[in-house]
Amino acid sequence: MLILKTLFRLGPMHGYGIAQHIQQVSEDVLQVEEGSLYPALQRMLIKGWVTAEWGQSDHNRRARYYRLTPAGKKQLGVEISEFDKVMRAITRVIQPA
Amino acid sequence: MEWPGELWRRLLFPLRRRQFDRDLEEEMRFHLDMKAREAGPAAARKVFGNVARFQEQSREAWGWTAVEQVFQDLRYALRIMRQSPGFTAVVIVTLALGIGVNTAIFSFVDRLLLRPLPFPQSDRLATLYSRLPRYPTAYSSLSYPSYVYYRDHNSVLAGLAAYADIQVNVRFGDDTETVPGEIVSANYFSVLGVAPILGRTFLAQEDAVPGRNAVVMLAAEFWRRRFGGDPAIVGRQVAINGVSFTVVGIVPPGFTGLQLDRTAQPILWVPTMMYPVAVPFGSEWDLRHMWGDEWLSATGRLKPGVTFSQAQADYAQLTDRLKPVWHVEKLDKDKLNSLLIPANESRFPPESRKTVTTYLAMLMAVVGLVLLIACSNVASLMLARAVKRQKEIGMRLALGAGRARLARQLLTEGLLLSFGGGASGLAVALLTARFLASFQPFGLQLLLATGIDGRVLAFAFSLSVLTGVVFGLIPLRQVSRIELALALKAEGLRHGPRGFGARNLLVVVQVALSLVLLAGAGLFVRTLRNAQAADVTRNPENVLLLKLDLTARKYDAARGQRFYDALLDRLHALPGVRSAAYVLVVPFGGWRGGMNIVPRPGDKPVQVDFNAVSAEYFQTVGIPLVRGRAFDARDREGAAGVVVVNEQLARRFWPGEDPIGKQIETEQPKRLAEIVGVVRDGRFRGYRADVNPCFYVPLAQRYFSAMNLEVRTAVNPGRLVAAVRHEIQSLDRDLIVPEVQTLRSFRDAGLGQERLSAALLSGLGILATLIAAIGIYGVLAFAVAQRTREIGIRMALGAASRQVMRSVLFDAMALIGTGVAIGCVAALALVRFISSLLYGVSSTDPAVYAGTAGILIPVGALASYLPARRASRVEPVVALRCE
Repeated sequence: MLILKTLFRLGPMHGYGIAQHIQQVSEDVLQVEEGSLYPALQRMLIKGWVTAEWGQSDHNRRARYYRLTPAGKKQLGVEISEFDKVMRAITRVIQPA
Repeated sequence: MEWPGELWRRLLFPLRRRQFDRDLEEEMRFHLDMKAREAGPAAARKVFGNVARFQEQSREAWGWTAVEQVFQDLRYALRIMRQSPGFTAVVIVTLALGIGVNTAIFSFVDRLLLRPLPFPQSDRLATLYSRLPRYPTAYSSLSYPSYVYYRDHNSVLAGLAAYADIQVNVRFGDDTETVPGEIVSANYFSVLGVAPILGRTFLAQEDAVPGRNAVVMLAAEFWRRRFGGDPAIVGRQVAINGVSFTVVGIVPPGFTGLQLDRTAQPILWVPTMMYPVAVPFGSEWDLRHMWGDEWLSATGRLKPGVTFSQAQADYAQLTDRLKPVWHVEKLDKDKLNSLLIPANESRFPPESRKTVTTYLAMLMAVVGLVLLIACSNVASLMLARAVKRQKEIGMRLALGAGRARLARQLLTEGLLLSFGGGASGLAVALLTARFLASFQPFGLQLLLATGIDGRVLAFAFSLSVLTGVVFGLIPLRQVSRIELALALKAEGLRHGPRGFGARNLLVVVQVALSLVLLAGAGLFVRTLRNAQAADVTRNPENVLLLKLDLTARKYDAARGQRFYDALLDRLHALPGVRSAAYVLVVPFGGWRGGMNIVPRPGDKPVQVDFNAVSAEYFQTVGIPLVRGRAFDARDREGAAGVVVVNEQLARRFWPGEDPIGKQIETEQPKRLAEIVGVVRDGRFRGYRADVNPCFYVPLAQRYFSAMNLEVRTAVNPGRLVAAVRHEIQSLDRDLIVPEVQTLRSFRDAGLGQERLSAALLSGLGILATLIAAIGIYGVLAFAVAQRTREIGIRMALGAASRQVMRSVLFDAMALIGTGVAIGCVAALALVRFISSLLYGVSSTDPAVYAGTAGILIPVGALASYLPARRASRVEPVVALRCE
């Protein structure tokens, strides 16, 4: 969800950029492990939520950019509403009565 | 979720594999570089972790890893196999032999006992048999009226078909071919459930009046061979036994009828009512009403819902109703029992079933032993290698290979080896089966197609899997016990006594099993020798034998005698022919002639063996004349009756007297005949038969329309076959001349089972011994290599090389001796089961066992000599330094 949201917000981005973004936005609370980032990206490629293409990075180097597909956007919606549901549930449980 | 897209992307992955790896690598490098920019290279690497591992995990997401690992395992296994080609070759050859002979014997068992008839619902087919108390065996023959009665009055069969084997001449222009066929009822093919591939089967009205409807169906093979598969064949004419038949249909290829007990596949089918043309004697009788002529077999299909026991009861009831008819016809069948046998179990005479089963069980056990030996040999090789590979496996464990993954890898290696063995085994099986079928075992002439089909293939496949799993698992046990630290140390190769004990045990087992096989081989070789020695004829390989049946030509006695004489004259004129003669009963042919005689006037008639021969017979086959004279030109029809007797008859009736000049009274024809000569005893039925008193009459004084011609040649008899055939055909071109063979091949065909046993067991025994020798060599060579250091120390401490050698040899002989002892006990326990198959040799014959041990011990000693010598040449300094 985080990766999809990042791509939704930033547009096409490479793996490093995604990791950086998540880390910055969450103010270093969420550290994205490379060991989970790349396998996760592969899984999304398989599902067809993202596509990948090579492009120029800011530092003039070749980098692989991931782009959200319409299916990915739909999935993002699904996941956010799922997440909301769970969050609300948790909140209700932990709120002092 | 978009399934099709996802599936598509996954499927395409292997094609894009290289690209994927490059992309991933570059991507990771980019990531690393960016990070390095930020925090410095060392920190980046530390944070990022194991790049290779990430790449692997990314790849795994695509779901191809399992398949890839199989390929990796295969590649690795192939590499290992290439690294030790000797080991690989020995294992594959050993397994190929083991699996091959098992598959071959299985193909026999399958064909004879297991496989059902290739017809729809063949388990619903039943064959009518009868048993008379005075004969030990059941038979399936019926007269035509009996068949019709059963067919029309039963309430349990959807149809009852009749059939019999025939042999007919088919003429193509000037060329005549003698072919086997069947004469069948019109419903034959529909009862079996076989549809023609062209045209139609017979109509009921075509099988109603004798000789009226000359129609024929041809085998697809014959149609292709003789008519080039011409689709316009239906309606064409074919000349069979001089009568023009119309082809109505083509029988599907591979159709061999219900019986396996035949030498050749039937090639054409005619309706039963064409018997006047197709059956000898047929034109003289109206077989529709002959209750005494039993020439047909009958097989029916049970109606749906009818059980075999219901059908059996119905059949017995009908038989009881027929008995008064038979009684009126003066047929002695009042005590006849009806027997309904499933067609799948009556593909060869049911009385042979027990013999065949026993014999095949023995063969299966024997080849099972061979497979055991092969397996134990491969197992001990694998064990030795597993120890050698401990270090390699330990290394791989240390580098992070999972034990499960390692196990899979080892299993792959085992399976690869066993599949290699299995595939080569199929070739071995094909050759073995062909070789075995050439012996015509079981005393039956069985039509054994020796092809490899799905069932046999499945058998070989499962054997391979079984052996592969077993072999793969052997090193696995070792793997599970590996202590990492120990394996990686240089000293890690030192192994405990347990692994070595297992290998010693395997050697003992191999030697013991080899001894069992060799002992069996010895017993069967002696049996064969004794059997062949029971034949009185001399050099039977130089005598041509062929059956002349004048019956179908309807010669009278005078014409027949003239034909016999004329043929002998022509044959004598052939260069290369030494002598030629006729004989009624060929020794070792499985039957005997019997006749009552009155040896002295006033005695009670006694049944003795009887044979009819022409003048030169004894000389032609080499039966020695003991006293008096053989037959000659004097002994003609009308001259005084003469006989020649064997020693047994002379001894029985005139002990201590000269039988020459004595007269005996024969029953058919009833007359007195003078004994003019005495010949050496011979067995007729076969080598196991007793020697009976026997007398010979001259063919010239007693005509038979079917005789065997025997021609002794001075040259290779094969070269005279065509000439002999030509002489016969030039006397009578319509006479059917069946297969020509030598007297020896005729005799040996009767000894098929004995020859097969002797050859197979000898071959397998030698094979097993070789395998065991390789096993002994392997185990000892390995032991010596393992003990190099120890031996070095002993030699450094002053042991003589002779002593070292002796100690290795002593160890080896202890193993071999134990194996021989155990093998002897096992063999003595097992041969009891085959004692009924032996002849002239006791199953505990000491010479056989001594001989067997006398082969195995030197072979074992030789196999252990090489490693022992290597041990004795160990240089102490080198040995101590080598680690």
